[in-house]
Amino acid sequence: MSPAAALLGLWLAASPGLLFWGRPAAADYAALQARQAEVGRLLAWYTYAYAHWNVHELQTPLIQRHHIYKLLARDSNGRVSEAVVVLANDGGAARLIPLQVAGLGPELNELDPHNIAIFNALVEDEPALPPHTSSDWLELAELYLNLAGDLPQIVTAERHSLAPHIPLPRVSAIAPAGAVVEFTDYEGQKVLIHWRMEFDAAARLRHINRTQLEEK
Amino acid sequence: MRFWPRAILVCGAAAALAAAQSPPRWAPAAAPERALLARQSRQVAALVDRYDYAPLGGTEVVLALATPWLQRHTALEVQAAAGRYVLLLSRQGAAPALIPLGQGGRLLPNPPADLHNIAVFNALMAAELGRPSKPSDWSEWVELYLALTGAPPPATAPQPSTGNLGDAVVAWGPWQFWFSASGLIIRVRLAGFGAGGLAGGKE
Repeated sequence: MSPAAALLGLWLAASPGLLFWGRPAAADYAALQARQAEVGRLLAWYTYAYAHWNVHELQTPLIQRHHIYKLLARDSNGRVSEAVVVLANDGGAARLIPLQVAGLGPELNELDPHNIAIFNALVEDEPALPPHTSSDWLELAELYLNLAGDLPQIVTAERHSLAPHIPLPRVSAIAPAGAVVEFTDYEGQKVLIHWRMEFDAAARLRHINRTQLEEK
Repeated sequence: MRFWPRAILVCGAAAALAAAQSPPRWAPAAAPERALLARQSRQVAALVDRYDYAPLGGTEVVLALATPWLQRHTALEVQAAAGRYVLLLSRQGAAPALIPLGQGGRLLPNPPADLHNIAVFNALMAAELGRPSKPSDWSEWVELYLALTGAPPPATAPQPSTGNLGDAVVAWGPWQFWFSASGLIIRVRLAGFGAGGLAGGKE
Protein backbone atom coordinates (compact mmCIF):
# COMPACT_ATOMS: atom_id res chain seq x y z
CA MET A 1 0.00 0.00 0.00
CA SER A 2 1.34 3.43 -0.89
CA PRO A 3 1.80 6.00 1.91
CA ALA A 4 -0.86 8.19 0.31
CA ALA A 5 -3.34 5.32 0.25
CA ALA A 6 -2.51 4.47 3.85
CA LEU A 7 -3.09 8.07 4.88
CA LEU A 8 -6.35 8.18 3.01
CA GLY A 9 -7.43 4.97 4.71
CA LEU A 10 -6.67 6.38 8.12
CA TRP A 11 -8.42 9.63 7.33
CA LEU A 12 -11.53 7.89 6.02
CA ALA A 13 -11.56 5.53 8.97
CA ALA A 14 -11.53 8.50 11.31
CA SER A 15 -14.20 10.45 9.48
CA PRO A 16 -17.15 11.14 11.76
CA GLY A 17 -20.59 9.70 11.09
CA LEU A 18 -23.93 9.37 12.79
CA LEU A 19 -23.42 5.65 13.14
CA PHE A 20 -20.64 4.35 15.34
CA TRP A 21 -19.79 1.81 18.03
CA GLY A 22 -19.34 3.40 21.42
CA ARG A 23 -19.28 2.52 25.09
CA PRO A 24 -22.85 1.88 26.28
CA ALA A 25 -24.35 4.31 28.76
CA ALA A 26 -25.02 2.90 32.23
CA ALA A 27 -28.72 2.33 31.50
CA ASP A 28 -27.93 0.60 28.21
CA TYR A 29 -25.36 -1.63 29.89
CA ALA A 30 -27.94 -2.47 32.55
CA ALA A 31 -30.37 -3.48 29.79
CA LEU A 32 -27.83 -6.06 28.63
CA GLN A 33 -27.10 -7.26 32.16
CA ALA A 34 -30.80 -7.71 32.84
CA ARG A 35 -30.86 -10.34 30.09
CA GLN A 36 -27.52 -11.90 30.93
CA ALA A 37 -28.91 -15.45 31.30
CA GLU A 38 -30.66 -15.36 27.94
CA VAL A 39 -27.66 -13.87 26.16
CA GLY A 40 -25.34 -16.38 27.84
CA ARG A 41 -27.47 -19.26 26.61
CA LEU A 42 -27.48 -17.80 23.12
CA LEU A 43 -23.69 -17.43 23.15
CA ALA A 44 -23.34 -21.09 24.17
CA TRP A 45 -25.63 -22.22 21.34
CA TYR A 46 -23.36 -20.31 18.96
CA THR A 47 -20.32 -22.19 20.35
CA TYR A 48 -18.85 -19.25 22.29
CA ALA A 49 -17.15 -20.27 25.51
CA TYR A 50 -16.34 -17.02 27.28
CA ALA A 51 -17.72 -15.39 30.37
CA HIS A 52 -16.12 -11.97 30.26
CA TRP A 53 -16.81 -9.69 27.35
CA ASN A 54 -16.00 -6.13 26.45
CA VAL A 55 -19.15 -4.40 25.33
CA HIS A 56 -19.73 -1.71 22.74
CA GLU A 57 -23.08 -0.44 21.57
CA LEU A 58 -24.07 0.73 18.11
CA GLN A 59 -25.22 4.32 18.19
CA THR A 60 -27.54 5.41 15.40
CA PRO A 61 -30.68 7.56 15.31
CA LEU A 62 -32.29 5.02 12.98
CA ILE A 63 -32.73 2.44 15.74
CA GLN A 64 -34.77 3.40 18.78
CA ARG A 65 -36.52 0.24 19.95
CA HIS A 66 -33.53 -2.09 20.07
CA HIS A 67 -30.12 -2.25 21.64
CA ILE A 68 -27.33 -3.49 19.40
CA TYR A 69 -24.23 -4.62 21.28
CA LYS A 70 -20.89 -5.85 20.06
CA LEU A 71 -19.23 -8.29 22.45
CA LEU A 72 -15.49 -8.86 22.27
CA ALA A 73 -13.28 -11.29 24.17
CA ARG A 74 -9.69 -12.43 23.82
CA ASP A 75 -8.44 -15.80 25.03
CA SER A 76 -5.05 -16.55 26.58
CA ASN A 77 -3.60 -17.19 23.11
CA GLY A 78 -4.72 -13.78 21.91
CA ARG A 79 -7.48 -15.14 19.72
CA VAL A 80 -10.42 -12.81 19.42
CA SER A 81 -14.06 -13.79 19.71
CA GLU A 82 -16.67 -11.32 18.62
CA ALA A 83 -20.45 -11.30 18.29
CA VAL A 84 -23.25 -8.82 17.74
CA VAL A 85 -26.28 -9.18 20.00
CA VAL A 86 -29.61 -7.52 19.19
CA LEU A 87 -32.08 -7.01 22.04
CA ALA A 88 -35.58 -5.63 21.54
CA ASN A 89 -36.61 -3.12 24.19
CA ASP A 90 -39.98 -4.83 24.50
CA GLY A 91 -38.38 -8.07 25.67
CA GLY A 92 -38.62 -9.92 22.35
CA ALA A 93 -36.22 -12.77 21.69
CA ALA A 94 -32.52 -11.90 21.70
CA ARG A 95 -30.70 -12.47 18.41
CA LEU A 96 -27.03 -13.01 17.72
CA ILE A 97 -24.78 -12.53 14.71
CA PRO A 98 -21.49 -14.40 15.04
CA LEU A 99 -18.44 -12.53 13.77
CA GLN A 100 -15.46 -14.45 15.10
CA VAL A 101 -15.00 -17.51 17.30
CA ALA A 102 -11.46 -17.84 18.64
CA GLY A 103 -9.98 -15.85 15.79
CA LEU A 104 -11.86 -17.49 12.95
CA GLY A 105 -14.92 -16.08 11.32
CA PRO A 106 -17.44 -17.01 8.67
CA GLU A 107 -16.58 -15.84 5.19
CA LEU A 108 -18.89 -13.35 3.51
CA ASN A 109 -20.99 -12.93 6.63
CA GLU A 110 -22.85 -10.13 4.86
CA LEU A 111 -24.47 -12.59 2.46
CA ASP A 112 -25.68 -15.06 5.10
CA PRO A 113 -29.51 -15.27 4.86
CA HIS A 114 -29.75 -15.61 8.65
CA ASN A 115 -28.04 -12.25 9.13
CA ILE A 116 -30.33 -10.65 6.58
CA ALA A 117 -33.33 -12.14 8.41
CA ILE A 118 -32.09 -10.75 11.73
CA PHE A 119 -31.73 -7.32 10.14
CA ASN A 120 -35.22 -7.59 8.61
CA ALA A 121 -36.71 -8.50 11.98
CA LEU A 122 -34.88 -5.53 13.51
CA VAL A 123 -36.27 -2.95 11.08
CA GLU A 124 -39.86 -4.22 11.27
CA ASP A 125 -40.77 -2.23 14.34
CA GLU A 126 -38.61 0.88 14.20
CA PRO A 127 -40.45 4.23 14.06
CA ALA A 128 -37.65 6.01 12.16
CA LEU A 129 -37.86 3.47 9.35
CA PRO A 130 -38.22 3.36 6.42
CA PRO A 131 -35.83 6.27 5.91
CA HIS A 132 -36.97 9.46 4.23
CA THR A 133 -33.67 10.80 2.96
CA SER A 134 -30.85 9.47 0.82
CA SER A 135 -28.37 9.86 3.62
CA ASP A 136 -30.58 7.80 5.94
CA TRP A 137 -30.87 5.04 3.34
CA LEU A 138 -27.11 5.07 3.04
CA GLU A 139 -26.81 4.89 6.81
CA LEU A 140 -29.24 1.97 6.87
CA ALA A 141 -27.02 0.11 4.42
CA GLU A 142 -24.04 0.96 6.58
CA LEU A 143 -25.95 -0.30 9.61
CA TYR A 144 -26.49 -3.69 8.00
CA LEU A 145 -22.82 -4.07 7.17
CA ASN A 146 -21.91 -3.12 10.73
CA LEU A 147 -24.22 -5.85 12.03
CA ALA A 148 -22.41 -8.31 9.81
CA GLY A 149 -19.05 -7.23 11.19
CA ASP A 150 -17.88 -4.71 8.61
CA LEU A 151 -16.84 -1.15 9.30
CA PRO A 152 -17.41 0.30 5.85
CA GLN A 153 -15.60 3.47 4.94
CA ILE A 154 -17.60 5.49 2.47
CA VAL A 155 -16.37 8.45 0.48
CA THR A 156 -18.85 11.30 0.70
CA ALA A 157 -19.32 14.06 -1.89
CA GLU A 158 -17.42 16.58 0.25
CA ARG A 159 -14.39 14.32 0.40
CA HIS A 160 -14.48 12.92 -3.09
CA SER A 161 -11.63 15.14 -4.30
CA LEU A 162 -9.35 13.19 -1.96
CA ALA A 163 -10.28 9.91 -3.58
CA PRO A 164 -11.53 10.67 -7.09
CA HIS A 165 -11.00 7.07 -8.20
CA ILE A 166 -13.64 5.85 -5.73
CA PRO A 167 -17.22 6.16 -7.01
CA LEU A 168 -19.59 8.25 -4.92
CA PRO A 169 -22.46 6.50 -3.15
CA ARG A 170 -25.75 6.49 -5.00
CA VAL A 171 -29.27 6.07 -3.68
CA SER A 172 -32.12 5.63 -6.13
CA ALA A 173 -35.83 4.87 -6.10
CA ILE A 174 -36.58 6.48 -2.75
CA ALA A 175 -39.52 5.30 -0.58
CA PRO A 176 -42.41 4.43 -0.62
CA ALA A 177 -41.18 1.91 -3.16
CA GLY A 178 -37.93 1.23 -1.33
CA ALA A 179 -34.43 2.15 -2.36
CA VAL A 180 -31.36 0.84 -4.05
CA VAL A 181 -28.17 1.89 -2.29
CA GLU A 182 -24.81 1.56 -4.01
CA PHE A 183 -21.48 2.56 -2.59
CA THR A 184 -17.86 1.64 -2.57
CA ASP A 185 -16.23 0.59 0.64
CA TYR A 186 -12.65 1.71 0.98
CA GLU A 187 -11.75 -1.08 3.35
CA GLY A 188 -8.37 0.30 4.27
CA GLN A 189 -6.87 -3.10 3.56
CA LYS A 190 -6.26 -4.42 0.08
CA VAL A 191 -9.36 -3.97 -2.01
CA LEU A 192 -12.23 -1.72 -2.91
CA ILE A 193 -15.61 -3.38 -2.44
CA HIS A 194 -18.67 -2.20 -4.33
CA TRP A 195 -21.94 -2.87 -2.53
CA ARG A 196 -25.39 -2.82 -4.08
CA MET A 197 -28.21 -3.25 -1.60
CA GLU A 198 -31.88 -3.27 -2.42
CA PHE A 199 -34.41 -2.42 0.29
CA ASP A 200 -38.19 -2.73 0.05
CA ALA A 201 -40.69 -0.10 1.17
CA ALA A 202 -40.52 -1.40 4.75
CA ALA A 203 -36.70 -1.06 4.77
CA ARG A 204 -36.19 -4.82 4.64
CA LEU A 205 -33.06 -5.89 2.81
CA ARG A 206 -34.11 -7.88 -0.24
CA HIS A 207 -30.95 -8.24 -2.30
CA ILE A 208 -27.30 -7.65 -1.61
CA ASN A 209 -24.45 -7.84 -4.05
CA ARG A 210 -20.75 -7.57 -3.32
CA THR A 211 -18.19 -6.90 -6.04
CA GLN A 212 -14.48 -6.56 -5.56
CA LEU A 213 -13.41 -3.66 -7.77
CA GLU A 214 -9.63 -3.52 -7.76
CA GLU A 215 -6.49 -4.20 -5.83
CA LYS A 216 -5.07 -0.99 -4.47
CA MET B 1 -44.58 -34.24 41.97
CA ARG B 2 -41.88 -36.85 41.54
CA PHE B 3 -43.67 -38.61 38.72
CA TRP B 4 -42.95 -36.10 35.98
CA PRO B 5 -39.14 -36.08 36.01
CA ARG B 6 -39.20 -39.89 35.91
CA ALA B 7 -41.72 -39.84 33.11
CA ILE B 8 -39.52 -37.45 31.19
CA LEU B 9 -36.52 -39.71 31.72
CA VAL B 10 -38.50 -42.71 30.52
CA CYS B 11 -39.68 -40.80 27.46
CA GLY B 12 -36.13 -39.67 26.77
CA ALA B 13 -34.81 -43.19 27.09
CA ALA B 14 -37.58 -44.48 24.85
CA ALA B 15 -36.76 -41.84 22.28
CA ALA B 16 -33.10 -42.76 22.41
CA LEU B 17 -33.92 -46.45 22.04
CA ALA B 18 -36.23 -45.84 19.12
CA ALA B 19 -33.69 -43.53 17.50
CA ALA B 20 -31.17 -46.33 17.48
CA GLN B 21 -33.42 -48.24 15.13
CA SER B 22 -34.61 -45.49 12.80
CA PRO B 23 -32.49 -43.05 10.88
CA PRO B 24 -34.22 -39.74 10.06
CA ARG B 25 -36.27 -39.91 6.87
CA TRP B 26 -38.06 -37.22 4.90
CA ALA B 27 -41.55 -38.14 3.66
CA PRO B 28 -44.49 -36.09 2.36
CA ALA B 29 -46.08 -34.16 5.21
CA ALA B 30 -49.24 -35.83 6.51
CA ALA B 31 -52.38 -34.23 7.89
CA PRO B 32 -51.11 -33.66 11.47
CA GLU B 33 -47.95 -31.90 10.26
CA ARG B 34 -49.92 -29.77 7.80
CA ALA B 35 -52.38 -28.89 10.56
CA LEU B 36 -49.54 -27.75 12.80
CA LEU B 37 -48.20 -25.65 9.93
CA ALA B 38 -51.65 -24.13 9.41
CA ARG B 39 -51.97 -23.31 13.12
CA GLN B 40 -48.67 -21.42 13.05
CA SER B 41 -49.24 -19.86 9.64
CA ARG B 42 -48.97 -16.25 10.84
CA GLN B 43 -45.65 -16.74 12.61
CA VAL B 44 -44.34 -18.83 9.73
CA ALA B 45 -45.38 -16.23 7.16
CA ALA B 46 -43.48 -13.49 9.02
CA LEU B 47 -40.41 -15.71 9.39
CA VAL B 48 -40.41 -16.82 5.76
CA ASP B 49 -40.73 -13.22 4.61
CA ARG B 50 -37.68 -12.14 6.63
CA TYR B 51 -35.67 -14.70 4.68
CA ASP B 52 -37.14 -13.37 1.42
CA TYR B 53 -38.93 -16.61 0.58
CA ALA B 54 -42.37 -16.41 -1.04
CA PRO B 55 -45.40 -17.02 1.17
CA LEU B 56 -46.58 -20.61 1.36
CA GLY B 57 -49.30 -20.96 -1.23
CA GLY B 58 -50.08 -24.63 -1.44
CA THR B 59 -48.06 -25.36 -4.56
CA GLU B 60 -44.78 -26.17 -2.82
CA VAL B 61 -43.60 -29.62 -1.81
CA VAL B 62 -43.64 -30.06 1.97
CA LEU B 63 -41.81 -32.99 3.53
CA ALA B 64 -41.79 -33.98 7.18
CA LEU B 65 -38.86 -35.53 8.98
CA ALA B 66 -39.59 -38.76 10.80
CA THR B 67 -37.21 -39.15 13.73
CA PRO B 68 -37.82 -40.25 17.30
CA TRP B 69 -35.35 -37.64 18.55
CA LEU B 70 -37.87 -34.88 17.86
CA GLN B 71 -40.73 -35.31 20.31
CA ARG B 72 -41.55 -31.67 20.86
CA HIS B 73 -40.94 -30.32 17.37
CA THR B 74 -41.87 -31.03 13.79
CA ALA B 75 -39.30 -30.49 11.05
CA LEU B 76 -40.67 -29.67 7.62
CA GLU B 77 -38.67 -29.21 4.45
CA VAL B 78 -40.26 -26.82 1.98
CA GLN B 79 -39.25 -27.07 -1.67
CA ALA B 80 -40.56 -24.16 -3.74
CA ALA B 81 -39.54 -22.18 -6.78
CA ALA B 82 -38.21 -19.43 -4.50
CA GLY B 83 -35.94 -21.86 -2.74
CA ARG B 84 -35.61 -24.67 -0.28
CA TYR B 85 -35.64 -24.43 3.48
CA VAL B 86 -36.41 -26.33 6.67
CA LEU B 87 -38.99 -25.10 9.17
CA LEU B 88 -38.79 -26.21 12.78
CA LEU B 89 -42.18 -25.94 14.43
CA SER B 90 -42.64 -26.29 18.16
CA ARG B 91 -45.60 -28.36 19.28
CA GLN B 92 -45.56 -26.42 22.52
CA GLY B 93 -45.98 -22.93 21.21
CA ALA B 94 -42.38 -21.69 20.99
CA ALA B 95 -41.44 -19.53 18.00
CA PRO B 96 -40.65 -21.38 14.76
CA ALA B 97 -37.13 -21.44 13.35
CA LEU B 98 -35.88 -21.65 9.79
CA ILE B 99 -32.81 -23.19 8.18
CA PRO B 100 -32.25 -21.85 4.65
CA LEU B 101 -30.86 -24.42 2.22
CA GLY B 102 -31.21 -22.66 -1.12
CA GLN B 103 -32.48 -19.42 -2.57
CA GLY B 104 -33.78 -18.99 -6.07
CA GLY B 105 -32.15 -21.65 -8.14
CA ARG B 106 -28.97 -21.96 -6.11
CA LEU B 107 -28.09 -23.99 -3.06
CA LEU B 108 -26.35 -22.24 -0.19
CA PRO B 109 -22.67 -23.17 0.01
CA ASN B 110 -22.33 -25.10 3.24
CA PRO B 111 -25.36 -25.05 5.57
CA PRO B 112 -24.02 -27.61 8.11
CA ALA B 113 -21.08 -25.31 8.84
CA ASP B 114 -23.17 -22.16 9.33
CA LEU B 115 -22.95 -21.04 12.95
CA HIS B 116 -26.58 -19.94 12.86
CA ASN B 117 -27.66 -23.44 11.89
CA ILE B 118 -25.51 -24.91 14.65
CA ALA B 119 -27.24 -22.55 17.09
CA VAL B 120 -30.69 -23.50 15.76
CA PHE B 121 -29.85 -27.18 16.29
CA ASN B 122 -28.46 -26.57 19.77
CA ALA B 123 -31.58 -24.64 20.78
CA LEU B 124 -33.78 -27.31 19.23
CA MET B 125 -32.16 -30.22 21.02
CA ALA B 126 -31.95 -28.32 24.31
CA ALA B 127 -35.75 -28.17 24.20
CA GLU B 128 -36.11 -31.87 23.38
CA LEU B 129 -36.42 -34.79 25.78
CA GLY B 130 -33.70 -37.24 24.83
CA ARG B 131 -29.95 -36.91 25.32
CA PRO B 132 -27.29 -39.14 23.77
CA SER B 133 -26.12 -41.76 26.21
CA LYS B 134 -23.93 -43.96 24.03
CA PRO B 135 -21.66 -43.50 21.01
CA SER B 136 -24.28 -44.52 18.47
CA ASP B 137 -26.64 -41.84 19.84
CA TRP B 138 -24.08 -39.16 19.01
CA SER B 139 -23.87 -40.52 15.47
CA GLU B 140 -27.63 -40.28 15.20
CA TRP B 141 -27.57 -36.67 16.33
CA VAL B 142 -25.07 -35.92 13.61
CA GLU B 143 -27.24 -37.74 11.10
CA LEU B 144 -30.21 -35.69 12.27
CA TYR B 145 -28.22 -32.47 12.00
CA LEU B 146 -27.10 -33.31 8.47
CA ALA B 147 -30.70 -34.10 7.52
CA LEU B 148 -31.89 -30.74 8.88
CA THR B 149 -29.16 -28.85 7.04
CA GLY B 150 -29.71 -30.57 3.72
CA ALA B 151 -26.45 -32.50 3.61
CA PRO B 152 -26.46 -36.13 2.48
CA PRO B 153 -24.96 -38.54 5.00
CA PRO B 154 -21.53 -39.77 3.91
CA ALA B 155 -21.41 -43.29 2.48
CA THR B 156 -18.99 -44.51 5.14
CA ALA B 157 -20.00 -45.38 8.70
CA PRO B 158 -19.79 -42.64 11.35
CA GLN B 159 -17.05 -43.02 13.94
CA PRO B 160 -18.14 -41.68 17.30
CA SER B 161 -15.90 -41.50 20.34
CA THR B 162 -16.86 -40.27 23.76
CA GLY B 163 -14.69 -38.45 26.26
CA ASN B 164 -14.39 -38.94 30.00
CA LEU B 165 -16.41 -35.83 30.69
CA GLY B 166 -19.42 -36.98 28.70
CA ASP B 167 -18.36 -35.05 25.64
CA ALA B 168 -18.08 -36.66 22.21
CA VAL B 169 -16.51 -36.38 18.78
CA VAL B 170 -18.08 -37.88 15.69
CA ALA B 171 -15.98 -38.25 12.55
CA TRP B 172 -17.98 -39.05 9.48
CA GLY B 173 -16.53 -38.87 5.99
CA PRO B 174 -15.24 -35.32 5.53
CA TRP B 175 -17.02 -34.12 8.67
CA GLN B 176 -16.02 -33.88 12.29
CA PHE B 177 -18.43 -32.81 14.99
CA TRP B 178 -17.52 -31.97 18.58
CA PHE B 179 -20.21 -32.11 21.25
CA SER B 180 -20.14 -30.85 24.81
CA ALA B 181 -21.33 -33.10 27.63
CA SER B 182 -24.58 -31.16 27.67
CA GLY B 183 -25.21 -32.13 24.05
CA LEU B 184 -24.31 -28.86 22.37
CA ILE B 185 -22.45 -28.90 19.08
CA ILE B 186 -19.37 -26.88 19.91
CA ARG B 187 -17.46 -27.23 16.66
CA VAL B 188 -17.96 -28.46 13.11
CA ARG B 189 -15.09 -29.08 10.78
CA LEU B 190 -15.30 -29.98 7.12
CA ALA B 191 -12.18 -31.33 5.44
CA GLY B 192 -10.65 -28.68 3.22
CA PHE B 193 -11.70 -25.89 5.53
CA GLY B 194 -8.49 -25.91 7.56
CA ALA B 195 -7.44 -27.45 10.81
CA GLY B 196 -8.72 -24.76 13.13
CA GLY B 197 -12.22 -25.99 12.77
CA LEU B 198 -14.47 -22.98 12.93
CA ALA B 199 -17.61 -23.65 11.02
CA GLY B 200 -17.43 -21.88 7.72
CA GLY B 201 -14.06 -20.34 8.42
CA LYS B 202 -11.16 -21.01 6.12
CA GLU B 203 -7.69 -20.72 7.54
